[in-house]
Amino acid sequence: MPWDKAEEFCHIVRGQMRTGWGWKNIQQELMDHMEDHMLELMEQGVPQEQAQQMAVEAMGDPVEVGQMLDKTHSPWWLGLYQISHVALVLCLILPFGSIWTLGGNILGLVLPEKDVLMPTQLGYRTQLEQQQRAGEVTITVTEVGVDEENQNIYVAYQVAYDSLEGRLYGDGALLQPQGAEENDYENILVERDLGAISMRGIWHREDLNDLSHIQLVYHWYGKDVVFTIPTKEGGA
Amino acid sequence: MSEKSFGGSLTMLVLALLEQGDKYGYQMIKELEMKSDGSFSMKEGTLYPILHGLENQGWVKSYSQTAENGRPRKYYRITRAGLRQLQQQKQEWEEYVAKVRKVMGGGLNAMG
Repeated sequence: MPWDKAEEFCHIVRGQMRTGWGWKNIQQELMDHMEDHMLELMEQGVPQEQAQQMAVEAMGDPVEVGQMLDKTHSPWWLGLYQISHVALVLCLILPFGSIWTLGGNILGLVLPEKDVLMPTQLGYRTQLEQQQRAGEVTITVTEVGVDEENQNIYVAYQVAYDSLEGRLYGDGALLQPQGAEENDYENILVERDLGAISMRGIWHREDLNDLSHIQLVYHWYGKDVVFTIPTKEGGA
Repeated sequence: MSEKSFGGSLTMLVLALLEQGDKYGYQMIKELEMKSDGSFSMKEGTLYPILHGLENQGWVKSYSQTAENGRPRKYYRITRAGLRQLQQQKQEWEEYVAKVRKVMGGGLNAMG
């Protein structure tokens, strides 16, 4: 719900920031907050115009907020992000030698090999190619592995973004739907690239033996998609 | 009480709120206010730099989901690293409070 005072607040915030990367998402979050506050005030009987004024004032000084956001989303941080990719590319194109070995060792610490995380001894393991679109994002589930002894389910998947902006600030992950039994989980970033990330989710389920499949959801601004992943032969 | 008077503890409070479940920004502000009986009312816009900073540190993770009111909202979830950080901050806070109590107690004894 666009309204002048809220937009003006956001405009001043944006003016304090040295980078526009991810601004769309930040602006949306600030606008949503002010809208929530305004609607609550209106439910209490405050007239709309006054509620808008109060909601914006409650946000505080837009200059201060903008300066704080600038520190959080500072260009040096983005610079570091870009440098990390340059370093990655350099290590990949350099021939075998001491620098390669050194680079490989460093990268080994930062980007663990996929098989380090997925145990080799699994009761059930299969390649998948389940692909769905959620807004500007394409999610592809590529593999599932079930560790029956420890009651863990491993799901490997990729999240590809249509734009770099979405990639930087829109990182999402597969999650169990709300209300589902969620004993324990972990989403690990195993590989990154400019337009996509490779992830592995690990879910611990006490009820693993009773499951034939697990449902996972990817949330993307109201355009949620649900994956049904088999955890047994012929499970989904 | 202004946010300046409890400074860095705001991150601890935000992490503590998220320890109880995933929440979006406005929800956190309301809960913070309610649970502190209105004592902790912060300038609402300053919550987001804190949340984004926590996300950069890997202590929280955001995702989008449709809220109860039917509108999509950006939710935050505490990570395992965030839980460890919260544990450490709680411990440091308790140590600090214990030291203050000790000094206060000593002061009272000396006066008595």
